[in-house]
Amino acid sequence: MAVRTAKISDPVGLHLRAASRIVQVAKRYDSEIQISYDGIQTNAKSILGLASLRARHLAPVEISAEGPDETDALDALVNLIERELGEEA
Amino acid sequence: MDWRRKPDIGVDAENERLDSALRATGEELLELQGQLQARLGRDHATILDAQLLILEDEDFLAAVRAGIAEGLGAEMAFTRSMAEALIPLDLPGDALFRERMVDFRDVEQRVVRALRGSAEQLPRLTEPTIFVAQELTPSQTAALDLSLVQAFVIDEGGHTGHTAIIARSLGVPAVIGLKDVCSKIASGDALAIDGSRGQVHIEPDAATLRRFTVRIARRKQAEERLLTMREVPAETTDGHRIELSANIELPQEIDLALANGAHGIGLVRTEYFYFQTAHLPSEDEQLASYRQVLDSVPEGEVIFRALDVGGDKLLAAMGGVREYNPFLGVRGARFLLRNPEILQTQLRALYRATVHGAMKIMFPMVCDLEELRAFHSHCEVVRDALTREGVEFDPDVDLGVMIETPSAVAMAKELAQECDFFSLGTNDLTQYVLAVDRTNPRVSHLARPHHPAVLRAIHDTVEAAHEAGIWVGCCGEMGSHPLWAILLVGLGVDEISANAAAVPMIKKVIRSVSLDQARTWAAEALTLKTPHEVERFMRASSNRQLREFLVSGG
Repeated sequence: MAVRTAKISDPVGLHLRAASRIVQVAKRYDSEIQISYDGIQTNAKSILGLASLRARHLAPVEISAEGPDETDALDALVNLIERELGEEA
Repeated sequence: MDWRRKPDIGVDAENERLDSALRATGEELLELQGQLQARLGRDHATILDAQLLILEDEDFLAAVRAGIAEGLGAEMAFTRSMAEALIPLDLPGDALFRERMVDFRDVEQRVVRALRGSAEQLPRLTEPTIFVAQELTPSQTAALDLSLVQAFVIDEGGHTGHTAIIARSLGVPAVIGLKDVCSKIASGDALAIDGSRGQVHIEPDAATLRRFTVRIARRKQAEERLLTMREVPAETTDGHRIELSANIELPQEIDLALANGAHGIGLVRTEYFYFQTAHLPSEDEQLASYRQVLDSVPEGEVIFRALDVGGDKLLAAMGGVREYNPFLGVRGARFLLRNPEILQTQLRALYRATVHGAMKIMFPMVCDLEELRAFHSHCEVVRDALTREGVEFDPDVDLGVMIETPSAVAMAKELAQECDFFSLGTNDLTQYVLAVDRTNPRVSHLARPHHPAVLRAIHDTVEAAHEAGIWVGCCGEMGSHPLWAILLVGLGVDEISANAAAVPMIKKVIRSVSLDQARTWAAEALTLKTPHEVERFMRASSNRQLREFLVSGG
């Protein structure tokens, strides 16, 4: 299993559209991917799960992945959360 | 009417309806997204992505399907799972997160609308009919005109299943669990149904018909004899009065219960009111239903059990864990206490109902004082709010707990100090004391309520209750069995709530023994070592009057 931390780059925080992007990216990978913040852990491929995370701008979320493509998945998600979300906003 | 041969009545059908509603909603959203993109550009169109993702959210859909597997209709299962998923989002003062609820509610409405469009209607019955189907869900049963159903023949299910319970309580013959009998029956076939032997005769010959006609006549006579006791109290020969009431699931059962001589309703399973609609019933809707029940019971008392759902249905809408042991998972008290909005809405409706008739409220599957006290806090919150609002209600309505777990039995002394009554839920109590999953056909035969282990648990519970000066009822199937009902009387139970159809028989049984006799038998049964010994002892001891019931009822 691989684990990394990423800070939410989107100035509004983890809003619904950002959460949708995370789900869409996570779904490209076969690995089981969990994202946790503030004591809540949720499946990164579940939009309703992600919606329950109250992560604001710069909140550190922990991403863990387990499976054949875990490293790639983590790279893509960290890049998305730390950079792309902020750039797109 | 070829509907009854369709293989898709029930869980499979509901899952298919769900799938096609999800597909339809997905197409609808994609089309909308296309329009948005053309008008406002791609960025704006992506706001619909979240809604589309819900339609393929595996965790969430697993929760919905679990609800369906539990017997809910697809609408109810979807709405309930959505309500559960939204609880963490609904915190005051957090606009950003509450806003997303609007998006989710919108998807919910679209899916429910799609489901409504596809609702599979059971045919309307217009004449007395034998109902043959592979499966029957609670919501389908609720939609049937039960006064026209002469008998049920259902492929799937068992003795404690939903249809079996309703059929028993309506006094309608039912043969359930024959696996493939549906495929052997054609619409219009003449059928002779023997519910007590579990037999279905298709196109019976003249001799069989004659045999059935004689037996039906004889049974009618016996029932009429029993009904002559409608007005007399359920009293032992030495004048000890037992409060004899009936369990109901559907409001339609009340009339039969009272006609059969039940004094009150010892258990209203309120789940029915939640199965009826696609949304969670509002406070006012619930109040109307509870009033209707109270209005139909002019004299005796009505005991409402708070919503008792559970098992494998909360799952992973929020990234949680699937329940591998639903009977040990979030059910009964645990479900209610985790869903305070659902609980408080029901409590408000129940408290408001208190001015419309004599009633009590009880909580399912309470294990210990922490849970009981949590219920009391919710009741207090509700009472305070109603008082502030100037609503009329009885603040002192009795609050009781169901004794269904070994833990509740062990803590019965303490629980009795802090509640107004106990009701023994012997079906679950038997299952938990004996560690037997009563829905598992490989072991369900081991769920014997007359097992000495269960009898001892009942004995301890009654003793604790009476020491604290509160009364104990029994609302499990045990109270509908002639021999075990006598054991309950002997163990000191104050109230027996039986199936509506069993009430006359149980009354006659109670009136055929003395309290002394029943106590002696119960004391002896408590010393026996195996359920087999208990059964043999009770059969040998029971007098002639009792024995006449054992032929058909035992």
